[in-house]
Amino acid sequence: MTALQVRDLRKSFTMHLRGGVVLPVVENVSFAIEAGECVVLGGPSGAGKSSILKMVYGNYGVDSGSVLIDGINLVSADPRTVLTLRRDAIGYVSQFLRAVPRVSALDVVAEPLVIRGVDKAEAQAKAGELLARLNLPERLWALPPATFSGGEQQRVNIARGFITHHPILMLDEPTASLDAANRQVVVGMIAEKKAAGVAMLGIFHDEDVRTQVADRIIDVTGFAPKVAA
Amino acid sequence: MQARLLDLLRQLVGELGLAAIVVTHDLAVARLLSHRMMVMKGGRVIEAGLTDRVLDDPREPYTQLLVSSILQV
Repeated sequence: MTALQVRDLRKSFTMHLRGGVVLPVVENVSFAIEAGECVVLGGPSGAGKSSILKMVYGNYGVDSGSVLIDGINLVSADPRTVLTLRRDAIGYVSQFLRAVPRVSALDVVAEPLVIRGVDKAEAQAKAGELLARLNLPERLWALPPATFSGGEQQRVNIARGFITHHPILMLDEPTASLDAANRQVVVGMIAEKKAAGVAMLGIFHDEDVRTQVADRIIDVTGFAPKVAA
Repeated sequence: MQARLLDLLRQLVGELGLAAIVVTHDLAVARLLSHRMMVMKGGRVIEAGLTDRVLDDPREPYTQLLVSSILQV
């Protein structure tokens, strides 16, 4: 079953503060992801991998093309529809944590479930399970993650992204700041999501992780804009 | 104090289902609190949309100026 269908996406940035110069990013971006499949975007830095993830999630606007989820075209949907899709259909694990100050790590992780109406104690129990699995020391759970190390913050972020049951997940270098043991934990969590039928689109610079999780690699250099210089 | 108010507002919106409009120059506050964002200039809404879309991919010259004038949020 196709979970995500991307067709002919094109993206450029118009820099109004630089005299309106237009920076083309990608064009003719087309692919589909099946349920239970993990597709990895490959290519050098600056080729547009993150931009593609952000377009699929509705974080970046597009010049043209479509992103179909459950028959809805996300790129032309109104903001409330995009928010509904993000609640029910598509999740995103970013590279960096952006959390509300003063909220404990445990509540940061539990929040996506609480928003979906899950009982708070139950959501916190699930959050604790994930944090324990990711080897985040229990003494940190009650603290806001702002003062955590990069690797600790990234694990909070991963737990937050994996706690829900979104059928589609975007993974933007989720293992970049992790040590080898925790990278393996994440590889295991991705395998479980696959087995549960989740469709994933990810960026992984770590070769070892990439070969373990990828069912297919899409080389984004094939989407480079063909413009006359 | 600001943090407490923000906590309270988040709770009211999240738990009681209140609708809220916040007027702010603080784009970090806008990102953390709001679902949608409207940018105004000279009494008109010049750009509107999902908060993270407006902040991460601003289209209008004035919005680009606004976003580029602050530390990264």
